[in-house]
Amino acid sequence: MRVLVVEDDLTLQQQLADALSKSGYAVDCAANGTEALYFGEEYPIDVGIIDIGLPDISGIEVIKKLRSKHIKFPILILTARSRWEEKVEGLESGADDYLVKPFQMEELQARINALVRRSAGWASPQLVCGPITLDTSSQQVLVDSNAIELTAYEYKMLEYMMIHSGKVISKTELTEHVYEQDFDRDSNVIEVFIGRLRKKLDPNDQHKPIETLRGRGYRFSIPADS
Amino acid sequence: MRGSIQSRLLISASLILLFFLSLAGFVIDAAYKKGAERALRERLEIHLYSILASAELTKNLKVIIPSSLSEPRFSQIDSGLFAYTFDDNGLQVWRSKSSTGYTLTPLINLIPGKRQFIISSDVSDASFMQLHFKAVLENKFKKTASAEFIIVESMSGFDLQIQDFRSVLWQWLGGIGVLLIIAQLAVLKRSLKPLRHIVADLEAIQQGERQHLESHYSLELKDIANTLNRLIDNERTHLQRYRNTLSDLAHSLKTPLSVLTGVYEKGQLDSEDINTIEKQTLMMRQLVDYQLNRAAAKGHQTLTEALSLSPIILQITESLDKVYFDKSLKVIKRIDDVSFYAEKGDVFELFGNLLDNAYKWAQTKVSIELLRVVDKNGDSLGIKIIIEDDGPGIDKDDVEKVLKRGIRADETTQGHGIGLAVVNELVTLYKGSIESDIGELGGQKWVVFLPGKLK
Repeated sequence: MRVLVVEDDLTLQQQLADALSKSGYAVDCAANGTEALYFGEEYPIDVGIIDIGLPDISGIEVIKKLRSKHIKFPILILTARSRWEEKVEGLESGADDYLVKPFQMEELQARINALVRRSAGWASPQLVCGPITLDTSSQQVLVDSNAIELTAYEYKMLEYMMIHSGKVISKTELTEHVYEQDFDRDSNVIEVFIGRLRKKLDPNDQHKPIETLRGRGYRFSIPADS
Repeated sequence: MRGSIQSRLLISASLILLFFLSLAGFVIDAAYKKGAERALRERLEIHLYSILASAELTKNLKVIIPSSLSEPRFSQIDSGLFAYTFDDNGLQVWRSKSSTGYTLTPLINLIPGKRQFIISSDVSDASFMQLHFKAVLENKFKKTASAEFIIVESMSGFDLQIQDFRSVLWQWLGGIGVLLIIAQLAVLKRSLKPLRHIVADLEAIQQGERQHLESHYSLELKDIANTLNRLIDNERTHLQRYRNTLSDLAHSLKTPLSVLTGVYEKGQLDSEDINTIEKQTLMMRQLVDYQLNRAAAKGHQTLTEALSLSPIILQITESLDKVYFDKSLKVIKRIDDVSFYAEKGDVFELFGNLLDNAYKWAQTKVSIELLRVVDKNGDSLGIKIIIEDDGPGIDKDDVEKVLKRGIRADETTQGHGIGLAVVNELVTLYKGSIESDIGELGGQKWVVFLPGKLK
C-alpha cells in the first residue's frame, strides 16, 4: 500500500513515515499543499493522510482540488483543532475520516487500514479468500486456521493483491504500491516474493491462489469450488 | 466634532433653517414691494382724480386747470410730483409748476377711461412712476373733448422705503436665525446628554469602577443599554471561563507531569514505566482537549440571529455516515424545523459529540429526535434533543462519571468521556438539562433540554 503523508511539522512527518513504513506501507511525504497536490496527481497513491494546517494551501483546499480532479484515494485528515465544526468542514470537502492531534499511532494505522479496505469494497478488517484469511488489524495471515509467518514485504504484497483480488495487477503496479520511489524496477525481486508467497500459502499446490498472466501480471483469486 | 451626531444635526438643521429663512425673507420682501407699489399707484390715482375734478372745458373746447391745486407739491419745484395735460393732438395744454425742467411725451393712443402705469427712468437713473389717463371732458354746452392727464411721481421715496424695510427685515431674520440655532444647540445638547452618560458609564466600566450600565437612560437608549449589559456579561463570563480553563489546565497537568518526572528520574525504563508514560500522556492529551473545548464554548448569543438546527444536524450525520461507513447504520431522524439562539460552534459540539457517541456504540441503529417544547399556551419554551443507539448503553453508576471532566467509563474506546463532558458543559452553559436513560432501541438514550427563545 502506498500512503501519502502531508504534514508540515517535519518531526511528526518523520514519526509518521517511520511508523507507517514499519507496518508495511510505502510512504511518500509532502510538507506543503503544492507538493501534496503533485504527489496526489502524479503517483498511484492508495491512501492519504493530510494535515489541515499547511503553510501554503490549506489541507481542505488540497482535498477539494484532488477531488475536483476525480482523484479518489481515501483521505484521512489530521487536525490540531478538535472542534466539530472543523471536522465536518473537512469531511464535507471530500475527506473520509479525521483524527485529532495528538493521536496514537495504532489508532491512525487502524483508521487508514480501514480506509484502504473500504475503498476496495471490503467491509470487515478480515480479508477472506477461500482458506486464506488476512486480518488487516492484527496483520496476521491464516491458512486453514493456521497462522503462517510472512516477512514485511511478503505481507505487503499479499495484502495489496488480496484487497484487489480478482483483478489483474501488473508487476509495475505491484512495485509502485509496495515500494517507495527509489526502488530498482528492473530487478526480479517481485518474482522471488511471489514464488515464496505461493510456497507459504499453498505448500501442496492445491488452491493456486496467485495466477500468473504472461506479460500482464498477476491475479489473486481462488475459485469457489476449491 | 467631525462625524459627531451633534455636529451633523446642527449643520443640517442650520442649512434648512437658512434656506427657509431666506425663502421667507424673499417672499416677505416681494409682498412688501408689491404692497408699496400698489400704495404708490393709489396715491397717483388720488392726485389724478383731484386734478380731473378741478379740470374744466371751455366754450371753445380748451382744457383749463386752476393754478392753485389742493396738493401743494404740484406747485413746488423739484417736489418729485408732477402733472401734465395734453390734448388729442399731443400738444401740451398744461403742466404743474413742479414740473419745471422735466419733459414728457404723451401716449396719445390711449383708450379713454383706462389707466396706464409706466415706470421710467431719466438720464440720472432716477426712476419715476407715470400714470397716463385719457378723460373725455364736457363743457356747459354739452360739447366734449378728450385730453390725456399724466401724473408722475419720483420713486426715490419708494426706493428708500423698500431699502429701509429690507434692512429691518434681514436684521430681524438674521437675529431670529441666530436665536434659533442657539436654541437648537441647547436642545441638541440636552437630548444627547444620555449618550454622553452612556459613554461616561462605559469608561467607568472599562476602568473597573462600575460593573454595569445604570438603568436611568432615556427610553430609546434603554434597549441599547440592556444589550450592552448583556454583551458585557457574556464577555465577562467568557473571560472568566478562559481564566478558569487556564488555571484548571495548568493545575491538572501538574500531576501527570510529576509522575513523568518521577519515571525519567529513575534513569532506566522498564515496560511498566512505558505503560505509565503512555497512561499519563494520554491523560494530559485528554485534559488539554477537554479544557480547550470547554473554553471555546460561547453560550447563548443574544446578539446573533437564530440558527436553523436541521441543516447542521444533517451536515453532522452525513459526515458521521462517512466515518462510520463500515457499520452501515440505520439512522432514524425526526427533526422539527427549529431555529434556536445559539452559537454555531456550540451547536456543532453538542450534536457532534452526542451523535458521534451514538454512532460509535450503535450496533445497527441510531435515532435522533429534535422537538420544539411548548407550554400549554403554545408558547415555545426551548428544544428537546433525544439521541439513542442500540449499543450496550452506559451503566447507571457510570453516567455521572462520563459526564464529568475527562473521566472515561470505558478505556477501550477513544475519547468517549471527553465528548460527553463537553456536552454536559454546554448544557450547563445554556442552563439546560441532560438525562440518561435506556431507550426503545435498547441502548443508550440521552435526553437534552435547552431552554430559550425559538424562532
